[in-house]
This record gives sequence, structure tokens and C-alpha cells, in this order.
Amino acid sequence: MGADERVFRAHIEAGPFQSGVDRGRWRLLSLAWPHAVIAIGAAERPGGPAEYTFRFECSNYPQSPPTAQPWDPARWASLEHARWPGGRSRIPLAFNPGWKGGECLYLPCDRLSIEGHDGWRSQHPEMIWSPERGITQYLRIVYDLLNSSDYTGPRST
Amino acid sequence: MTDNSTRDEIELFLQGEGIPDIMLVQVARHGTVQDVIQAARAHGLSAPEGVEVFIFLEDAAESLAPGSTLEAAGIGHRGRVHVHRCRQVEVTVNFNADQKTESFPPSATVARVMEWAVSKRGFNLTDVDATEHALQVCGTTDRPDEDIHIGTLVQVSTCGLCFDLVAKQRVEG
Repeated sequence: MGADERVFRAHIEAGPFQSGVDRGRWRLLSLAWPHAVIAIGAAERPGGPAEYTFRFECSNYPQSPPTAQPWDPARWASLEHARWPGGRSRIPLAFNPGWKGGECLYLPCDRLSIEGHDGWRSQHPEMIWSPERGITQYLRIVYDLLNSSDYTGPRST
Repeated sequence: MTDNSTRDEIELFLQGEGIPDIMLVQVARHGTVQDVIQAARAHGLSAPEGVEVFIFLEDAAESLAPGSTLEAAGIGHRGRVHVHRCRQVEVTVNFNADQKTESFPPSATVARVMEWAVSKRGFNLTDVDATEHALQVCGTTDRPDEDIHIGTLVQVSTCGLCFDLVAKQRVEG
């Protein structure tokens, strides 16, 4: 087992991740390095799921940020775009299937999205990846979005 | 829920003064509240030996008696506790040009303070506006998660804490 996987496994056994599990905010579905599939709870909306699943690619964790894409655990494939989370303002920007072909979330904590966005470091310092905070930082950001008033349910509804 | 309890030990979510994040610790199932304080010292509690500290259940106003058994104190597997030398924390929240102050136990979560800050006793935000704002520690860019106990953020010399209530910004550009 590589150092990156060892650190990741330690982080998901630690207090911040387990606290979220205990509160029903998120749960690990599978871990096949470098991919971790994690379900994150969402606010109740008409026609909306109780949770969204994301596949995180975690190579070189935690020095490099993960990148995540919405995932369909039934088909074990990327989530079809119509079922991505929808909303009015912050949500459609963060969950934008048109950004890099739907391979990642448009967030400062995402490895693929931070590339070329140096301005985000001063505009959104609270969302810049921190190796010390680890995967839970990313999960907290997505959980917050999916439980905000901006979230209206899947894009298709 | 994950259950790593054994016949002899239980897990607790521990936070406290000088402990920067939520710790998952093991303590003896039939131990006492004092044992939890010792666990906190082993995990970075900043209060020196000999200084009186108090232990609280999450969001509870009253501290627990150190000699109580965990069972008598209501601390079960995966219970949430806080160890701190302050009994109360005076929290000030700034929003626009206004300021509100209220006292909370150090075991109060950031979520509980946020609930007060957006309520009629605070700044009276609508439900929609409330989820579009966050508490940010004054003078920093730190927006602690709603699970965090405010005692972990406190300046012990004053038993006080200051937040700015800030709008969550759209990520674009």
C-alpha cells in the first residue's frame, strides 16, 4: 500500500470523517485505490434523492487535492447529466456537467478545477485544499452546497 | 453507524481547548468522567495540569462531575464531549454594521451559534438567507464546520470569541 492510500485510510478512520458518518452526512461506499466512492446527504427536495454519490480520484493524497465527479452507484458509471444537482446560483456553477466534460466539480478544492484559477486562492481561501484537513474538507463543502436553499433538486426536475 | 465498541471500551467524539479538530478516542466503558479528561490531555488539551477544567456533553450548559461514571453522566458509545477551562464563552457576531453578543457553553456547536445568529434574537435572517451565510472567525478566513464546538476556537485569556457573519460567494471566473 502506498503512502497516499495509507494516509487516506487513516483520515477516514479519524474523528472528522467519522463524525460526519455518525451524523448521517456521508458514508464510504467503496475504496479501490486511487478511487473512493462516497455518498453525501442532500436536503429533501421534490423528486430529489436522499444523497448523491461521488467518485473521488485521490492519487498523491493528501499533497494533491482529490478530484470528484457525480457517480451512479447502480450503473457504476458517471451520473447522467440530467441527474446532477440543480439550483439557482451557486449550485449550477459548482455542479456543471459542461465543465471539463463533467469530470470534476467546479470548486477551488478540486484538483482539476483549481488549475488556471490562481485568483481563487484570494477569492475563496476557505475552499482551497488543505492537506491537513483532508477529504473531509471537500465533503463538508459539497454537503453544505447540497443542503443550502440554493439546491432545488436534480437538474431535470 | 460504524460500531467499534468492545466489551471493555467505547469511542467518544472529543473536542476541547487546544484540540484543533474532532478526535475519535477510546475510553474504558466503565470508566469515569475523569478518564475522559485524561484522554483529552493525551490528545492535546492545552490547559496545564493542576488547572481546573470542566467537561460537557455537546450543547449542554452544565458540566459533569469528574467522579461520575460515564454511564451515570449519560456518555455512551460515540457520545460527543468537550473539555475546557471556561464554563461559558461570550460570543460576539458582527453583521454589516450591527453586533450581537450571547453566552454559550464551550460545548456549543458552531451550528447552534449560527441558529441563534440568524434568529430573531440575532440578526433575523430569512431561512433562505440563513443558508447563504456562514460564521467566519474574526480576523481570519476560517469558517469552522457546524460540528465544531466553539470552545476549540476560544481565546482562553478572555473566554470570548468573535465571528463575522459573511455571505457565501459564488465560485466563478
